[in-house]
Amino acid sequence: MEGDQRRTREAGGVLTADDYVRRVAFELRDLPWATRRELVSELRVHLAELPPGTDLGERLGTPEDYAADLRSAAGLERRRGVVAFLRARRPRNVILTVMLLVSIGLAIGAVVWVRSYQPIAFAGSTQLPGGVKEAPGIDGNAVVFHKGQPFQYGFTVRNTGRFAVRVLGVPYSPALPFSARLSMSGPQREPGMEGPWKPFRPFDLKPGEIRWLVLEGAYACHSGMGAGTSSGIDALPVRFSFLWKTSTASIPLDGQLTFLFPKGCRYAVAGK
Amino acid sequence: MFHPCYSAKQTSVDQAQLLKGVLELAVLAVIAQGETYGYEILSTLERAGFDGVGDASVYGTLRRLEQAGHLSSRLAASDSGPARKYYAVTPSGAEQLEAGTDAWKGINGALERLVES
Repeated sequence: MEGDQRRTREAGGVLTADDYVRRVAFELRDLPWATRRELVSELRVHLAELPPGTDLGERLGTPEDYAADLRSAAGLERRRGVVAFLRARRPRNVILTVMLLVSIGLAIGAVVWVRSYQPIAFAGSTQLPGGVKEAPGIDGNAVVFHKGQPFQYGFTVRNTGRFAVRVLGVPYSPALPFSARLSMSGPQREPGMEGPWKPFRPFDLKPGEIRWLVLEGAYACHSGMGAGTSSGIDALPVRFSFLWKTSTASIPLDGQLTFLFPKGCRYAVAGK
Repeated sequence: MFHPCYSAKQTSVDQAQLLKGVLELAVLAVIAQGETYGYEILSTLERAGFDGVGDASVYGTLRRLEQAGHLSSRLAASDSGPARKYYAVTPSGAEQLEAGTDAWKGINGALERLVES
């Protein structure tokens, strides 16, 4: 466009043909994108046809007046509302925006889903410590605490989800009255006993797969317990990771395991 | 200062109203002479005496006639710049022109008789 040769003077300075077209397009911004593009394109061609040196203001009026005349003669009413707003946008940009919003929505949904994905569940089998008995007034199983005596407790976990997760271990809890190393079984489809256990290494628990996790060690005092008291566990924490997320699942067991302290348990500080 | 109105520039509202009624017919008449484009239509109208017609009014009328199916258009490259949009009268546009011309002649004749009486 020979914009430099066709211009008009305004209070704010010289208005070139490009400025003129831009302002007319702005005045028509509510029209559907294709309509606006057509009208603006025709105006560009028209301005290019005008003889060099034409004063646009004198010939066409202000851009705002030109747009109003054009709108009036063409029967193009001013449009308002969401539909008009969307139609006034370039279709490619609307599609890109929708795709972007859908992508963001899917990404947020994926993040929320990954953060909430916890497929590890108790698989129904436990290996109780030696000396377990039923105690009056106690729900589940009970075992008498004997400091330094061997302790072993195993439980099974199953992946009930559709995707594999990586099992990282059973976090240590000072509330547990024993010191133990974690062992595990190989992958199983049914929770049968498959000893001897092997030392724990992080492993992938595939969908439907079962593994034994076994705590092997000895009774120990990690917190003081008075004579005649008891403490119990009804769930164990299992640390796992899925994609980028690492979290701890509390695995409910099939019943509470109660530790009885008939003689109490004195917490021994290291070095004393 | 510039005072735009519907179809005329630097003219009275009365003349603008008169032009408004006849501009559609005049544009059809110009295009009926042969395929042509916007700037040439404006020039032809000016030469014919429609020198007060606003450019925006003509382009708006062209769009309205095209939307109504009275005109067809095609883009063709021009020697001097961007592609021009050439307009041609469709059969429905020709009917519109004929009917409009008859109506205009009737109105014109009636007005002449009134003025002369």
